[in-house]
Amino acid sequence: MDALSGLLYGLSVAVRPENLFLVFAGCFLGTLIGVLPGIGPVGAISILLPMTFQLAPTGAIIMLAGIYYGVMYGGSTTSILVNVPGETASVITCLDGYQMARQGRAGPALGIAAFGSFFAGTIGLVGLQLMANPLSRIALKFGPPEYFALIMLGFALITYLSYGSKLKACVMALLGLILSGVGLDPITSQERMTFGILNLFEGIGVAPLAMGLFGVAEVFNNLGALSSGNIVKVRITKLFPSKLDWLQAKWAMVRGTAIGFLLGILPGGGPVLATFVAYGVEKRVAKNPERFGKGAIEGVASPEAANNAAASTSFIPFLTLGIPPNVVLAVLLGAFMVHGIVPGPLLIKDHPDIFWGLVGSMYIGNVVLVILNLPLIPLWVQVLRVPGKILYPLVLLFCLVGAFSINNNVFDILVMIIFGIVGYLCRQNGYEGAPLILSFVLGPMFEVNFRRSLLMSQGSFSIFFTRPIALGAMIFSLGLAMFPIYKLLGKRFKGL
Amino acid sequence: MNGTITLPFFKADHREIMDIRDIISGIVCLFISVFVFTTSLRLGVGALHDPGPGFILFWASILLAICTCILFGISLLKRTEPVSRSNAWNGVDRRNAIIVMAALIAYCLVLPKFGYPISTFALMLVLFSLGRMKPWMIILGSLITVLLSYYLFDHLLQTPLPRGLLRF
Repeated sequence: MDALSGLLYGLSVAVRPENLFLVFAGCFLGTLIGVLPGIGPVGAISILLPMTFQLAPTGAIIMLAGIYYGVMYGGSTTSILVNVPGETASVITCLDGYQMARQGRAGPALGIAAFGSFFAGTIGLVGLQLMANPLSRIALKFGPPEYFALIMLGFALITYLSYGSKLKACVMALLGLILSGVGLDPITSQERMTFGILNLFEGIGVAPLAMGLFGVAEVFNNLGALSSGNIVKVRITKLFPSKLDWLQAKWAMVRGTAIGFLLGILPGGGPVLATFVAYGVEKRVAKNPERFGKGAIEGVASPEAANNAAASTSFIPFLTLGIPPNVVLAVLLGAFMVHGIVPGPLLIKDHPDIFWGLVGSMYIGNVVLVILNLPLIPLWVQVLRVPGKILYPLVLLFCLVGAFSINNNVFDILVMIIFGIVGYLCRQNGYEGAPLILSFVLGPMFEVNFRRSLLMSQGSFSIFFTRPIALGAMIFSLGLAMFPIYKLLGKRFKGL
Repeated sequence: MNGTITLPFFKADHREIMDIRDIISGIVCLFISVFVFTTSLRLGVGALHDPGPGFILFWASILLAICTCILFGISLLKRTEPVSRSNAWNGVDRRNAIIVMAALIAYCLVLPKFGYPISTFALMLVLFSLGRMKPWMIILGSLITVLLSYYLFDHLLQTPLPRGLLRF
């Protein structure tokens, strides 16, 4: 099936009434959660995942993708109006978006964010549609060494690109790898670290872990020190940018789209990195860089475009290789598996309705989000007015029921609470949760492919360095691992 | 306790201060790495040509121990500004978080016995009371929350919520 016929098939799946409703519901709920400060896409997907359990796989995945998109959109609304990012990828939007709002230009800021996201999201989807089939065919030639090397690259990137201490990110990644070993050994079925608890035989569930580490931990964080953004007390009148705004922002949108498109594909990259890079590039190429940070519309257009382009293209390695390139898609991988779907090179061939239905629904979702985001802004503003002392207990309740509904087992609630405590303590001590969840999800694939590779090569590590794709990924990984040490030694020698 | 410790054998003007959080987290990580190391040996590390169930855990625990030791070393050697470090714990109200954690664990224990409505009502009373609302608002809010959520999850979403001893 070529790209165009696949898309038409996918649209025919996506426009079925039940799937259309799920696209709308996913986008709406994702935007609603994305508007809430602090609960990012991982928390949102974790919290809303149980709602999809009763749905058919196609519908569930369409809804989850809508939630993912919606959260990305929703995050920019709070960044602009309240100067509190709805999620990490919207941090950069605060810099100029909030300043624009203070100057009475909240409407154009929100409008350009919405249109820029629509444009970039659509380009990203075209890339997904065109690259998926060829990449799947290449991926069928991948063996255990290639998969191992790519996952290793993902580990290296997520550690290297973490915002805090790289060493602490490394510690979290190793802890995630260890946690992924709990349960039955994938090759010999031997019990590992189950402590005789029957519920641990299948390992720790990714949904309660993610819900605890991100959703519940965020609630704990906000109980102690409630974030209180001041809602901008300006009337939001014009939502459409002026002609001058378009002239200023158009190339910024294009550059942001290109940056997001490329960085979204890389393991460890994704929307967060893309927004920072896009903003940096925009400031560098601007004729008057001193405008940035004071309400430059390019400072909103470019990061928002990068954000949504990356959100689309990060689905490429995820769906075709089965390797989630960022932490959000790592949780989504867990969600797919809950529904019995395994992303990878055979997804297009074995489940074309799911793959193309997903692509079709993302095109529709992109349109829905523009329609939702602009007229419903007054509603999102009202949501921000709900006091935290009412909102966060409700979020907690939703998490509790959600965790229970996975397996109708109170044990999953306990796991979620434990990891909520762990997540809270980690934040207090400067440890990020993202490396842990990514390595937890990738851990089983990492181990199985590593052991299979060594079995194939009779214990020789040369198998990772004699196959071209594996060699390339290993060199890149080792380079990233050595780079901080090289920088440190360079500083020491300079000081001498 | 302001969250820091002062090493006595340094001069006052170059006093090295180490955040106690780094010490505790480092000790915890070391403990985990030792535990996993011994577990991996028990499971069997195997050989390179035939890795055993403990192979990845073995190397992960060693790397974890190395990273933790490096973190200890960096924390020890890094000079910190006494003024900023003394504010290590300021602004963080952990009281509410501890109450909520205790309430949630208690919720897990009572949920199978008393069922969803009663357990959740009690939990919401605790959570809403942290917001310092009026008593009637806390009780009414908890009641409404339980009723609406019960209807939403049990009837609309068909989630089989725990019934408990009272069978509802």
